[in-house]
Amino acid sequence: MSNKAMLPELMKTHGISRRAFMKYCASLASVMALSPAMVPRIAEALENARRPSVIWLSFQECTGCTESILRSHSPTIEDLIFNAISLDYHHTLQAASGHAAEAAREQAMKENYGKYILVVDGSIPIKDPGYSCIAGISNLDMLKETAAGAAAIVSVGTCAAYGGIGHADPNPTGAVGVSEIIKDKPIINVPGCPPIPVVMTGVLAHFLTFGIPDLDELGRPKAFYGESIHDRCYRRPFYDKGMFAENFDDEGARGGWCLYKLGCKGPITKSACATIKWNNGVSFPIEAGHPCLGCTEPDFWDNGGFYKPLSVPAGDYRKAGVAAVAGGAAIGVASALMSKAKKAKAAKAHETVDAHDLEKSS
Amino acid sequence: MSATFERGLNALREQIDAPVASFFTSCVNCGLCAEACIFYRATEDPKYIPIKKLDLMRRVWSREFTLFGWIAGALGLVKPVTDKDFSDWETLVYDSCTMCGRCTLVCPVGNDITMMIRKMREGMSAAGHAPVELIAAAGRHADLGSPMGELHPALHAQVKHAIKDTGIEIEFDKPGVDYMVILSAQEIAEFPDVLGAMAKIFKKAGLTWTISNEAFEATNVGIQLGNRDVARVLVQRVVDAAEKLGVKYVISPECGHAYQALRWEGPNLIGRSYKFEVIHIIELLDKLRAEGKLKTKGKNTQKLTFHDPCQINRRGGINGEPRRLMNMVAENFVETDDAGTMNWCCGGGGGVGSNERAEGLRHAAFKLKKIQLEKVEPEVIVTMCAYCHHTLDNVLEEFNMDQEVMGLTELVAEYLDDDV
Amino acid sequence: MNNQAFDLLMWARGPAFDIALMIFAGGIVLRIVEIFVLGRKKDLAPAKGNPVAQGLKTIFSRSVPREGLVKFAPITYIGGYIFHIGFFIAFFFFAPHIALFTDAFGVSWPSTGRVIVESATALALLALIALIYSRFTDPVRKALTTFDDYLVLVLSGLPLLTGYIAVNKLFGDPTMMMAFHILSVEALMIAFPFTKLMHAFSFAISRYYNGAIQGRKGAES
Repeated sequence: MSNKAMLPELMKTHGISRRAFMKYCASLASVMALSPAMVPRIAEALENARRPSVIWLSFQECTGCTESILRSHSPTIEDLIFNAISLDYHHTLQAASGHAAEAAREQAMKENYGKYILVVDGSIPIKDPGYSCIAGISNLDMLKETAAGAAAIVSVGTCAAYGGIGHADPNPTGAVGVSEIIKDKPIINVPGCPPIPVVMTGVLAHFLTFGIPDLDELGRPKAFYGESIHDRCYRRPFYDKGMFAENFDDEGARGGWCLYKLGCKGPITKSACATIKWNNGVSFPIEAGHPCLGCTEPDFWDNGGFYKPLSVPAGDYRKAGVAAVAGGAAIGVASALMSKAKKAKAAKAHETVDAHDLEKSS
Repeated sequence: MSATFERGLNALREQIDAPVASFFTSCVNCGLCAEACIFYRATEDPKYIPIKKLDLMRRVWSREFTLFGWIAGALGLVKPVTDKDFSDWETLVYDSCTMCGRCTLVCPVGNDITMMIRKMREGMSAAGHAPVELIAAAGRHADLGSPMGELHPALHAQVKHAIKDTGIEIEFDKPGVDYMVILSAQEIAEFPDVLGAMAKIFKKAGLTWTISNEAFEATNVGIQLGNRDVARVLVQRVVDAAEKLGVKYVISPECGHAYQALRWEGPNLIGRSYKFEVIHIIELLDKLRAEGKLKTKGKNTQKLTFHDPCQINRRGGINGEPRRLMNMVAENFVETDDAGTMNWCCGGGGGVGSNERAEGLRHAAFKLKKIQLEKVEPEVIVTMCAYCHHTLDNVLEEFNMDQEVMGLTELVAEYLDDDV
Repeated sequence: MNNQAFDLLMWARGPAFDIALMIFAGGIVLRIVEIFVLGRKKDLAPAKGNPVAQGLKTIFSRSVPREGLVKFAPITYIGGYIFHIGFFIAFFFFAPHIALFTDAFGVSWPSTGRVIVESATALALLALIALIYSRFTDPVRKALTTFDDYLVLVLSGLPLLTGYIAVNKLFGDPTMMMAFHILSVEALMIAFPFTKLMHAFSFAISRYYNGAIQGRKGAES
């Protein structure tokens, strides 16, 4: 792929009208929470952007993130964005395989050293790097080697961002996210399991147009991860009114009431699910009747159980409680028996007095 | 043998039981008992907050009867009780508490503070920190039969007087009768008219009764001192006399703590139930009224009010009885504010009345009684406790108030229907 | 990357809760057992009333103040009522809290809406401030107050405050505030067996004894 092809030309080849392009820019602006006044600037930036080289590395992952991005809901436009970049290496999508594939990566790195974008999905095992290798190269080595020449890294999916499923307790492979290993490059985390397609493309678009977006303390673009699902959830009024589904086939579930008691993690999960939604804006998990799993947050897999309400203790507290009651009773009886013995001793020591024994001899 | 600190501490330990532990565990330091206390309300001095009077006992409980308190004590977080504490607490426990029981009824967590004061006095008296007057009275009661000393001659004189007045024979030590009458020293010394009143009423009702020469004294300074050994001996005298005579009932007279002593504490003091029943004179009169054996004629037209003695009503459970009797003989019976269960104490109960050191407090405490009385302005205050009667007589005089005080039995006797 | 707020929340919901629960449950049982095992002597005086019935009745009836006393300590009485009722509503009628009981004991009851829960919380907090104020100013309260009292007042207020902030996202990271909220509850649980908070359980025992002692004599309680 050439890195000189500019967007307008590509548009022409793909039969995309100017009008459709501007509409896309407008939707990007709204998704990124930018003012409509920014639309022409986005268009201008996209039109003038040089087509950077992108290397996509997949480590311990399920390909869900790739599947998601392939299903982005305006395919031609997202396709466009992928044509606006030069995806030089993606071992799931590229035609080349084996040595040819690795050669493509090495070549892209060499040609664009210091300028290419590195996209990562999947976690990296560090307990024993041999747990996951590509072409005999461990994920850890490949990441370090590829990151060295990257202009920026986009960690796509919760695994690449925070370790994700692989990192879940007891984390047999010692899986970690990119930011645990690479400390000297700008990293944009786009967590989610998988992330919303338009969020991934939106982040790339933002990077192309305005560079690194504003990030929160977890490295997530604030534009997409600024608010909790709970705050933007269309079922929120039910929460406020105290109307909750108690199980999956009760009146509340059918009536679309709040899913908090069924374990919804919306209150502590920051994501644009409730606003951008999925499948071309059709729906999102809560709208489909399932509680939010909290997949954009680190360690979401270990948050005490998907169907356990947030207010319920995460551990096996019942055992602790029963043990404490038994222990407390035992110590209480022991202590009280000591008290009783003290009392009995006092009773034994009691010297019967008569009316003339009431004064102190001084 | 003499009182020692160790004996006091030992006696306190003996007193701590499940209710005490529960009460101290529950206290939230809300201070609502203060507003119920006659001494706090009269002085507004926070040292008279009822629960604070128990601090010493609370410390003993905490340090010696709870695991956490024991640990805290070992770490030096709770001070051990010393003999100085006993002397510091003496006035709080004896001078500023009549064991009237109002605090017990307002405590939101249900602490029976009064019962704990009673228990704390066990420790205080064993440690030699009871008021000298009570100790002296205990000596007289033990040796001479009454806290006022030898009352036999006075009693016999009063009985003779009553026989002359009423024309009804009163026999001493008569076995086989149903009832044995005991009297409070106060009645014998100050208000002997009650003898004639009882004789008249009992005659009409057809009751057989007697007075024992061996045990005619109903009061029990052991209860006021808070010394169960002393109290036991005094209760035992009455029980022995009653059981020797084989009576069915012993009539507890118009005396507050005497009722507590014989009716509620007695069996627990001697460790067994009696072979007779204890009935309060007012309970008996109301029973006779209900059975139609007490008939009156005419009514008192003066403005009367009723003073509830703490130990008989609030802590004794006799509340409706005197009111039914009052309505029987009084045309103009007016209740004061707080009458009944929450009536204000006369200020002299629980040994405070005989405690010279407490005179100032006692007079201060009358303030609340005075407010009650001034609102109603009765001509006569009727009561059913000779000691309330005595205390009210004295303070009314002190405050230049001219109400008359009268025992309920006497009042009822005045209106007995002679035609039946 | 670690999300501190999330980790703290998980710690609060996990190990911290287990520790707090053990101290709370074990400590309360210990102290209640300590009371009961001490026992009391059988009362030999023949009863005039029914001590058991009156004891049980007094557990409830003592919740109502005696006539005419409220005016002497209005902050303590009224503030006390508002605090207890407010705390009770916020604790027992907020759905997330009910979910906890459902999980632990399998029982469930209807929850109430946000307006009621939040009004109750706000009122309870205001009442708490008034109660603290009275401990500083009212001579009776002042004379009785110990460190324990202030500690308990603050510890009972923190869950209300942090809960209100977390739910309303007044400031701070909501996940962090929720973690603080749960931790504040755990602090309250840990302090429980060692402080006068015990009254929340022992009041029933004390009221029962009070009612039974009075009831046996046929006296009011």
